[in-house]
Amino acid sequence: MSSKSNKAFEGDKMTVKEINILIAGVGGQGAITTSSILARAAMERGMNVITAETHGMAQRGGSVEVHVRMGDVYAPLIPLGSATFVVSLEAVEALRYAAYMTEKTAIILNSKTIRPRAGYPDFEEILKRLEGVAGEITVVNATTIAEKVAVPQATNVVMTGMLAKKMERFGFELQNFEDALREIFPDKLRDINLRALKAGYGAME
Amino acid sequence: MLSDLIKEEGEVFLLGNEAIARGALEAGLDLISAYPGTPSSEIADSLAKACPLLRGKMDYYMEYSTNEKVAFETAIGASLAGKRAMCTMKHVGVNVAADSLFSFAYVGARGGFVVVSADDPSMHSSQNEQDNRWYGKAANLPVLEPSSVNEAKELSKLSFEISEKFGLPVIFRTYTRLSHSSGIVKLGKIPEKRIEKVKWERKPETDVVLPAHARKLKPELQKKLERIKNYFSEFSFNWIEEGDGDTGVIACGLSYAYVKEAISNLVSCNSDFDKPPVLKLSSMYPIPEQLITKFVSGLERVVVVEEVDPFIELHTRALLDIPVLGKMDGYLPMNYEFSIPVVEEGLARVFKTETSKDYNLIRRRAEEIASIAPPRPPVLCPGCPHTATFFAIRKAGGEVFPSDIGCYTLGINKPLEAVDTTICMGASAGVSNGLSYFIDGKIVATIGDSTFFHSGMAPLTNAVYNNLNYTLVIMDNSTTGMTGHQPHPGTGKNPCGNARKVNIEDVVRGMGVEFVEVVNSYNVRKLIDVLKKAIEYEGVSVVISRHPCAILWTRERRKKGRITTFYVTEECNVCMECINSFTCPAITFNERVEIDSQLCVGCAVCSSICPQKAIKPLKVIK
Repeated sequence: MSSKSNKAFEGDKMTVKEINILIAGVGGQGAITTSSILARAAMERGMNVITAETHGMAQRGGSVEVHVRMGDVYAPLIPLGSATFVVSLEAVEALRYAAYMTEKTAIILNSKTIRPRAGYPDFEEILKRLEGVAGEITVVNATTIAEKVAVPQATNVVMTGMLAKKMERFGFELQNFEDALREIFPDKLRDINLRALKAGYGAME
Repeated sequence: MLSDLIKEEGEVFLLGNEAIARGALEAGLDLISAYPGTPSSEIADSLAKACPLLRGKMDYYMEYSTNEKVAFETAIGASLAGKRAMCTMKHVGVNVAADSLFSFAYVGARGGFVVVSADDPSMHSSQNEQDNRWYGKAANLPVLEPSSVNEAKELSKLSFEISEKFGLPVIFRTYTRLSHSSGIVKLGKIPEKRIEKVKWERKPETDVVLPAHARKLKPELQKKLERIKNYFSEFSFNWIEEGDGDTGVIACGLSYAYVKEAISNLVSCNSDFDKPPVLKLSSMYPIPEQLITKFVSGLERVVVVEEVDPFIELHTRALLDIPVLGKMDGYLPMNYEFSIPVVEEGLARVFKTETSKDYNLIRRRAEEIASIAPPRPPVLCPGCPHTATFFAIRKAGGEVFPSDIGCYTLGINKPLEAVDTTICMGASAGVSNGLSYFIDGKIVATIGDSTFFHSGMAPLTNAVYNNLNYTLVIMDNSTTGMTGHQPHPGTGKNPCGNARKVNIEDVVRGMGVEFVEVVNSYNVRKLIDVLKKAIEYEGVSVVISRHPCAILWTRERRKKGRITTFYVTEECNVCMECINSFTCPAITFNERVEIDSQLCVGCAVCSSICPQKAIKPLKVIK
């Protein structure tokens, strides 16, 4: 794991009016499930929350974005230049959502790539471009962690665990995410996903 | 989530479409009928899943109808029996149902009748961006539009009462950004209810729209509309928020959310900008004239914020003698869905002030950053039977490819390129009729099974009747794939009740088509042979290419625990047939051809078309 950060981000205040989280990925990676966990974690904290999803034809292996907004908000989509966090389940997907980033945005980037037929840019170039726009980037191979403690399909939950750690500065606790996860997953998938969540959380410590 | 949808009380997190479904449950709905279509599908889907769980507590009938017109008319039947009915469809589905809609407006609702039109600003998954509020104006019907997920639930419930109070069918307009957003919903009670049969009450003077009756019914409809117009001026979902200055903002439906946050941004960055008065509207038609007139008293101008067409803007211009700003003079964009930045920019133009951020700079910078990201368009899934069918059609010598609405529209892409026209549901066969008179070339049209039942039967009958010459390939994956695997007559399934299966081949033969063949889509060699004969056949020929949707087929086999994936052997001479003629997301080329075993679902089609026989099964247990 590597982490780079700008001063502006560190200087950000602890109390906020709103938290905006953009989840980027490829159809089938579980971006919507991630947003469901986050939304219920916010409800555990008594916060208002709205999410916006991609359905239909766009899902078939295409790029997927899910917006999660918490706090004093009304509209489903994150306004441009206002993402608090960007969670990118696939590396290159983060590049498509630069419009939502600012020097206050923290990115959690899965270094695992899913390469479309049209080719793929150099990984260092992806990072360089993101560093130019976001305040902080944490790069981690969440898929490897997921494979180790659960199954590769739990990559999204590992990354949720990483975000849970980051969201502690807004008063969130790991417990909120665990409770949310118990609500979402059926009994037989609960333990495996709790392991993935904790592994992600632990990777950020 | 289903458990939240049917929860007794409390606050839950629901998808906009689930919230609409919940509203209908709280209203004690008796029937839901639907044809699926993004972004409307989850309303009926969630009511389909809830139906067996609520049985014995809150009973209702649920049907997926063959098309939107049928769904609408099924709901009319329920309403005429005094029952509460909802029918749901995407915006273009209302076009299919429009014939029934216009006449039923004259007849009027008895039991509460709500038609949900899910519009699609920005055309995320649709062929056009029509604004279905016009149907309210054209057919003289009330149109409601919620501004949040919770309000979607409340308004959905209230729609049934409004429908009964005024004896009118209600058009409930939602759209992608609301239907596919989730939010916190405060649950009300789901009533306990059984369904009882009632005696038919004959009322031909209203229910038979003979010209003599219709001439009397039209002024009656206008009177109802006048009454509901006054009701909307007092409607609790329309309200005025006080503010300063001489310019007011009328915020319609979800645009209210954008207006709220845009104003807050403008206030935060401009010390001389005061929050203007806002009129929040959730009734779109008829226009609440008294309320609007009251709102603008003392104002010098008003700006209307609404998505898609300048509908309220036009009506407000006609009503008021002060300047009305909006889309028509360029303050707000005429096309595509709104967002906080778009509305903030519009309001900044109106109020001659600065936006909180330089959004254009942000957009330009983002475009540059994203320029190296490879496109990742939607593709047909690994194992998709449509890929095999398109491949066979190209090999069999098809030359002209009218097609239809479904996942298979993706057959437009390289290397298949077997989709030349897509207009609307059923138009593959319809357009082929006309093309066959004039085009010198082998016409092979493609249509899905659900689409065939929806609106492919009438144009195919036309082809038999007029003795036209083309081949219609019915791509039967035994589901309504793109919208989330809903059943249709060919599946013989019904989510909440009994159902009978309708055989496509029986239907086609019954219409008088003499060349009818059924082939397994994965048997590509046979499919090519049959297609060649069908293409050579003089007259209309039908080939049913049948294999279950790869998603369902794979899900089923995963449950059983065994999927045999394939790999490329050393025999491969990189002829590229599997990549340049056939195509599959699991097959990649990077110096050599490889199959991604994570993606391969073991359909074996690539193996059967490989000229070198270089693709072999690899025993793997997933």
